[in-house]
Amino acid sequence: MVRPPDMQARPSPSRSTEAHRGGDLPPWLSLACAHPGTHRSVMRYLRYLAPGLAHLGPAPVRLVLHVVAPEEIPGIPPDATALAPRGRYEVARLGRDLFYSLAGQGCVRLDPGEGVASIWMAYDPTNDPDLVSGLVSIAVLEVASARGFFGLHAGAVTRGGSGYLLPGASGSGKTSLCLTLVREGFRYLTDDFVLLTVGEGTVRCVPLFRTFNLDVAWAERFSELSFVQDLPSLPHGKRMLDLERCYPGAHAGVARPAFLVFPTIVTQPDSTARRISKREAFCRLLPQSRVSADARVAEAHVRALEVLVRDCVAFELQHGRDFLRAPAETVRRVTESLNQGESLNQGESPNQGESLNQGESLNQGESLNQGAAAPGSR
Amino acid sequence: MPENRLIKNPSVVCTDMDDGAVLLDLETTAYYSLNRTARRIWNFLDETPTLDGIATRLTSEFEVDYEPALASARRVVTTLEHERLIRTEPA
Repeated sequence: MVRPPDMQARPSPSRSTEAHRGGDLPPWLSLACAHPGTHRSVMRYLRYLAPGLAHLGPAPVRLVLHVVAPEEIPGIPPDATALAPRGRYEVARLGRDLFYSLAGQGCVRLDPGEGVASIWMAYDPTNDPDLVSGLVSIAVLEVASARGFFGLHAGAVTRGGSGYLLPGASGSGKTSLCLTLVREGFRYLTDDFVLLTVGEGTVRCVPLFRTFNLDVAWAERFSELSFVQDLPSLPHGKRMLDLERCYPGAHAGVARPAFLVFPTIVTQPDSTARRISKREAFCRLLPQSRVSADARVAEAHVRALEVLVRDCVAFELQHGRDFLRAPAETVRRVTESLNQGESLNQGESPNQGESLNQGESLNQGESLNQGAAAPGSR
Repeated sequence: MPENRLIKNPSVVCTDMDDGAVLLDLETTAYYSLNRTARRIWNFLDETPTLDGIATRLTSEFEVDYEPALASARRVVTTLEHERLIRTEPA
C-alpha cells in the first residue's frame, strides 16, 4: 500500500520524554482544589480529556475537589434513593443530585444538569493512581451525558468518510488494531473511548482523548515506533503516545460511524470476520456504554445507540495468530471483506425467520458495565 | 372471568430491532434480548394486557392454534414476570 506523503511514517526526530502534550482546557471549565499535588494530577488528567471536554461547553462546568481524611468522606445521604451500583461504586439520587460512593476512598456528588460536581477523596500516597481519574471521570461523563454526549469504550478510525467503531473492553485488541489501521492509511480518533452524539438523525463520534496507550512489544514491530520503549512507563507498563507525532495528519476530530467492529483476540491461526445482527450488535454495545445513573439521560443514551446500530453494519472480528504474524496483511483482508459486507471465513448467519416456539425467547445479558476503570487508565 | 392484567415495568426501555428487541431495565441495569416472538408479545402488552388477549393475537399473527399460542405466551410472560420486567395486577 502506498500512502500519500503526509501519511508516511517517519522516525521520531527526537526521543523526548514528553510523549504527548495535553490539550488546553476550555475557559468555561473550572477546577478548585486546595491540595497542590492533587490539583496537578487532576489538571493533568483533564488536559488528557481535552479533546472530549472541548465539546461540552459553553455552559460552565465546575469541579470542586476536597482531599480529606478517610473518615471525613461523606457517605450517601440516608434519604437518597439507592440506584443500581456501578462497578465498585454505590449510586444514589436525591433531588437533582447524583451520588457515587466508594466507601472510605471517595465520593462524588453532582448535579449533571448544572455541570457542578464536588469530589471528596481520601489523602493516601498509596492510593490507587486510578482513583483520582476514576472519580473525575464519573463527574465528567455524567455531565457529558446530560449534555448529549454519551460515553462508549471503543476505538475509532475513519477512512474515505466512513467511521469504524471498535467497541470492546480492555484487552480486546482495540489499540493494536487501531494502530495497524492507521499504518494502513486510516485516520484515528482514539484507541479507547468516544463520545457519541446525535444530530439531524444520525450519530457522530468524537474522541474523549486522542493518545494511544501502546504495548511496547507491539509497537516495537514498527521501526518508526522503536523509540516508544524510552517513553515514561505508565503503571500498567504501556507507553502513552499521540500518534500524530509519527503519522502527521492522521488525527481526525470527528467521524460518522458506518461500521461497528467488535474485536476479540483468539488463539486460532486465522482471523475471522462475521457479520452480526443489529440486535446482537446492540447487546454488545451495552456493556461498553457508560450510561448515566439518571434514567431520563440513560434513555437518551439508549436511543443514541439505537440510531448507531441502525446506521451501521456490524461485525465480530476475531483476530487470530495471523494478526501477530502479519498484521497489515490481515487487516487489509479483513477490511476488504467489511467493505463488501461479507463475512470472512463464513461463520454463523444471523438468526432469521423464527416462528413461534423456536429458540430461546428471552436471553439475559450482563448488566451494564459501569464504574469500570476510568477512560484512559487501562 | 376477568383475567389478571399484565403491567410493564415503567423503568424498562425497549429497543426494537429487525429480528427482535432488547429490553433494558434502567433501575437494575440488566438487559435482555428478545427474539421476534417475544418482542411481539411485549408489544401486545400495551393493547391486550392479558394472557388470553396475547394468545388470541398470536393465533392470527403466526397461524397457530390457540392452545400452543397460550403456552408460548405463558412461557414468555412467566419469564418477564420473574425478571420483574412486568408485574401482574388482579382484574
